[in-house]
Amino acid sequence: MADPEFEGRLGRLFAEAPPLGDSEAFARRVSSRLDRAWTLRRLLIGGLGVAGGLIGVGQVAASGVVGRAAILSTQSVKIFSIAMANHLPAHLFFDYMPVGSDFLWAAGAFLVVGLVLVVMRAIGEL
Amino acid sequence: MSNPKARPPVLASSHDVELAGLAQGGDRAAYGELVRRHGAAIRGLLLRLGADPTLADDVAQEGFLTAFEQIGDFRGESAFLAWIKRIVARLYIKRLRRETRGGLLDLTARPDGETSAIAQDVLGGADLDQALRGLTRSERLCVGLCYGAGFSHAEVADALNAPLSAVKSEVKRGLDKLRSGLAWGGV
Repeated sequence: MADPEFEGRLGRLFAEAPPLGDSEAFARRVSSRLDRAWTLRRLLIGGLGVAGGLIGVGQVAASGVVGRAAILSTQSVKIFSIAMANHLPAHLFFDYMPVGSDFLWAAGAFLVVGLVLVVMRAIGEL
Repeated sequence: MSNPKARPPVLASSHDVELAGLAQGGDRAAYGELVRRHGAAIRGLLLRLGADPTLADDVAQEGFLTAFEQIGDFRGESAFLAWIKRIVARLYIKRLRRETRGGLLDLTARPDGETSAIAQDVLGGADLDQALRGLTRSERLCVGLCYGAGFSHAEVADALNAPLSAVKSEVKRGLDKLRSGLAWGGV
């Protein structure tokens, strides 16, 4: 027969944690195992990233896309310069810039590098 | 990046749900505080289920690691301790199954009522732990899962892959023994 009073008391007795003296040491053991698992995971993700990156670089190099991009880039700069010269008075654009078009290209490159660093940091935080 | 060894005062005074929320964001120091708070309760549960201290320590560690992996599932609808107790109890059952080479737990076996004397030394001579010594392994397991880990009879039967009627019988016998062991009514 059910005895709610006794069962309630039993539940409360089970809920009382026994006084085990090495709580700190136990917590350290768990933290240590957690850290090991964490490090292993990060190494695995990093390793897979490097492998994927190498494969990607290899594929890009093999396809000759770099050479084609260089040609396209040169042509683009020429087309852009001609277009700018034809449609904008010179004083509206580069005259107001402290530096020339080289600066814009360099700034663009830094922006790309910055974005890559932000993405890497975000991945590192995951 | 958080340092798990550091224990900022704000963590020590935070509620479990807050700490779990921080842990869900990857804060291992917050999770370490939860481990510190509830490590004894979890190991105590395992000892009361019949594990020896070494096994209890190992399963408790594994339980906390598993719970960290699943911390996203904790929504604060129940207490963190109740949530992790169920995880740990299931891990312990899985470990018992492995010990019995994948076979089912034999709830009808009634070895000799022995419980781990070593575990008893660790637990000390508290009323409940003293009374649990009088139960068989299966009675102790069924009673512990119901009253220590919060399982229903049906959940115990499912977890142990045993008939519900057998589980109910084990629990009833265990409760009868505990009632007399705890001197209920006289204390």
